[in-house]
Amino acid sequence: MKSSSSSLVLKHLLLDLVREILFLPVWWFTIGLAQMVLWCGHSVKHAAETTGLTIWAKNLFVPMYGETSVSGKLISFFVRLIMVIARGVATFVWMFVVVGVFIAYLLLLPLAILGIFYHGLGMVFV
Amino acid sequence: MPNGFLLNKKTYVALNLDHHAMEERAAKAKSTRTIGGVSFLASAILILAGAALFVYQNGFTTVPEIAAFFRPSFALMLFSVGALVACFSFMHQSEITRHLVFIPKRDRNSIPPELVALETPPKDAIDIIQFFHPNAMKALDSAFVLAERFGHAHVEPIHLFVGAMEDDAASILFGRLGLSFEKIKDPMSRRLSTRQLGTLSGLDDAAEHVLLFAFRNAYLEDRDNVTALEMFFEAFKADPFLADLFQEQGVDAVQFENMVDWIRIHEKIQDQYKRFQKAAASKPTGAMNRSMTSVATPILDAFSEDLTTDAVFGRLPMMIGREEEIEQVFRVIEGGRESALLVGPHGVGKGSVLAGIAALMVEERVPDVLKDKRLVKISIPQLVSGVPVETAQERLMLMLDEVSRSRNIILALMDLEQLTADLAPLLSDYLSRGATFAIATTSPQDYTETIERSMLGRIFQKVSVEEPDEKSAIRILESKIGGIEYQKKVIFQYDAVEKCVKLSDRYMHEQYLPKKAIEIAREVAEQVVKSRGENGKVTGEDVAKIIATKTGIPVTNVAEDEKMKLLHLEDEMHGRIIGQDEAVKAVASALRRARADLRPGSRPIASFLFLGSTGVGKTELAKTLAATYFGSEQMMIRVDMSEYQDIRSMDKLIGAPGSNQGGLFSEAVRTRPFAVVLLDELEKADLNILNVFLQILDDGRVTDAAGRVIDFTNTIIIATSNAGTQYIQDAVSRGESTDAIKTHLLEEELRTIYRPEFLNRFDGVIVFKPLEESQIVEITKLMIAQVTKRLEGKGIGFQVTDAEVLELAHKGFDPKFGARPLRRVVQEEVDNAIANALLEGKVQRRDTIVLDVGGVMSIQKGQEL
Repeated sequence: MKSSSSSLVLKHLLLDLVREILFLPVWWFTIGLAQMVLWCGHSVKHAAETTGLTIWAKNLFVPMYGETSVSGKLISFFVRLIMVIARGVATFVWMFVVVGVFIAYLLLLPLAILGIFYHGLGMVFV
Repeated sequence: MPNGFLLNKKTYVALNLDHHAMEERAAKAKSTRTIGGVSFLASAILILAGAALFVYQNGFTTVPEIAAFFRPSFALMLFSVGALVACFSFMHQSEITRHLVFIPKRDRNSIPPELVALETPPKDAIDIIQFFHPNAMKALDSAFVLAERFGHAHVEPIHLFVGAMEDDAASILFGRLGLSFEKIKDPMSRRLSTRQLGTLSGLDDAAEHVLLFAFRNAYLEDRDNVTALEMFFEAFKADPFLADLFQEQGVDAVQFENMVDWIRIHEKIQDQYKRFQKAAASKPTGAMNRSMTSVATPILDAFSEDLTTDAVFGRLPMMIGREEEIEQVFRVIEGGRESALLVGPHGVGKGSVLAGIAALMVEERVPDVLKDKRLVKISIPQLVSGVPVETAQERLMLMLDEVSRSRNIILALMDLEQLTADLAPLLSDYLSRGATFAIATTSPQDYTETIERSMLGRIFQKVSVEEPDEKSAIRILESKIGGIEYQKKVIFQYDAVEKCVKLSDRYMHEQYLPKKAIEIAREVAEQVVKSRGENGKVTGEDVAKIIATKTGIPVTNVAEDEKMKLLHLEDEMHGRIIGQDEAVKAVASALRRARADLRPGSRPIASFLFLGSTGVGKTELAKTLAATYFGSEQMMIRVDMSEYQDIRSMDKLIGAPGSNQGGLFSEAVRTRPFAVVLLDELEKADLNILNVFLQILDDGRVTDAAGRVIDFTNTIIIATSNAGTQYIQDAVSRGESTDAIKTHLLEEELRTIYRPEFLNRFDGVIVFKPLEESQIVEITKLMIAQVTKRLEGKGIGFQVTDAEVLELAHKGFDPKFGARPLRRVVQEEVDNAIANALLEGKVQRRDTIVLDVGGVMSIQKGQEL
């Protein structure tokens, strides 16, 4: 921005920086955490949609390929059951990944701070 | 007093627009950007450096033991600091995203908000500036910089306009309109130098309105943010100077707005495309639905095309406009679980509506009954062709059986009227059982003729698809131009797009918008890429040229040499017409008016009643007119009105009622709508026939027996009449003035033959005076010149002595019949003699025939080769 003087920018820069640094730990475990939970939820839901889990579960008792005979219905039910399980497993695997990311999030900030102190002080005193 | 908008009970205002606040805002934005960038970069460097150092210290080959991580080291400290900065950077970005705000979505049926004046903005008023896109903020900022540089007291619309001009959208707009910054630079700086000087305080009221209305536009257009384009457009509207400036460059306010619309459409299509691509990834293609309840449909597949699959693979065009019609189709399907029939003329976009529905089905943005379904278009011709009725019926039954078992198919039937009487009951019976729905299309004519009163008429609910108006057609074409440009590798200017729609609408009445305009656009693109190579610019003139070659009407801009020709049209016409100054002048003026585009669009180009005895040049003038305006003498439809002497001849004129066919006359005009219509001997026609012409002269159209509207707005109508001939001859010999003759004719002689309102409909009633002997001499010379020209083709020269010309003229002159006997005399005395000489072999190539008094013919031998 040409019309804003650099001193004005500097003032904002310093103020923002200080404010945000102080805010970080609080944010991480409040607003940030809430957002993370939301993201995890969306992610799992999206996985379920991609694998078609909900649609398969909904149609568990609907015969496949328009086969309405008793044997057709029976076969269809079991095939659908297997498909629901298989797709459920896939969704589950993805859920594990998501949970992993969530745990990593929880640990990242404390570990980083701990690491700085541990290694920093360790180098000084050892 | 501040202004604002009330949306969903909340007040939206433009707050803090003084210079200081703007500076603060910009500084804050810059600081945020800097922190974001630096922290991201720093974290990446620290983490990479820490990791690299750690690997270096612990060796590349061995996997480090757990203990290595607990040994205090500089590498791991670097890494930890990097991780901390990464946390910071993550928070910073998340907060930016979290605080992003979007313009609230508009309820489709809500009325557009009006600006309200506020005493003081309420405490919870929402600042619209937060919805401004970065490019709009940049433009706003540039406006402040500009005002500051000029030492102006306020930021005004013109500053905002100039500020927004740096945006990409503005460059596109300038490019498409064929304008350059250079041309408007000087007037713009002159305008800027007249602004009020002082310490810059902030936006004046007009500029504040620009921001508010830019916000309003974005809201009405369903955008997330206010872009620089909206600011640009509103600033243009706010300052009359800008409209003037652009007008001078040949761009009026409507064109400017249409051009802005084009950019908006382009952005919208991009958004639509992105969203669509995402959705298309999870839409199954082929027969199976996602829940696998459907069955394979081999017979149906053989005679049909899956529109939803086509849409997934991007084979169908994106749809613009027509949301209203789609909404109606959905209402029909949702409401009564009925089938819908799109009724509209060919080319208005019924197919696009189907494509639009298919695209919405891919995105699953449809009523529940249409979700997880596919839209399958049955090809009726394929179904019925080459097989006996029974086989076609069997095929249809099998197909419908597959459809009902599959349960995920919605049928689409183009041109429903093609379904024969043997098949229609099958389909209507099937649909009436409610197994599925169909969306079909047909034309209005076919609807009334074959469908409305049949079984199908009861099953289908009619949804009309009208021809779009000019503005909507321009929008639709604008949405297609991107594809055409990509395909043909050319660039369209706005003028070309507008002309495609306007000229095709005006001159191609047999087809409908938007299809005819799209076809013209494709044709022009093809032409331009051939003549100018890739990346050639398509201009309005290119479009006019194509239309001119298609119709024979000169619609291109009047070029310099043509200007001269038009201004001296009388001289040129006198090359063929001797005397009759008044008639020639009237006709030439009418042509100039038509060429300068000053004629009203809803009447024939011109209409004249020529009065005068036979052989004075009435027909010749009509021919000259056809050649001058339509390019050829052949562009004339000649109707002998003596063939229309009683009411029964109406059948011949516009077709017999119930025959479903046009008449001889109406068909001639329908197939050749760009021509001179010559009505010979008008006085002989029946009064009822004249009434039809009364309407043609007035409205420029007539409806034939088949219900088609025949367009006369591109014709020149000339009626000739011998009525009052005796009076004209007597009056001329008495030496009365033309005006006096005309007045007497109109008030006395013609009253018994034509009704006054009929005579009034003509643009001009022109009296052709009887020819004098001196004029006959001139005509003789013209005729001899024609003979000379014919002989030139054979390589033979021809000369006639002056004395012989006089003799011929004298022989051919008859005050009663004008120049008509002369033609016979020339034929007998000149043509016959030459023919004999040629047959006898007296004349060779390069010889010259000389004709002297008394028809004496001598031959001057040419030089031997």
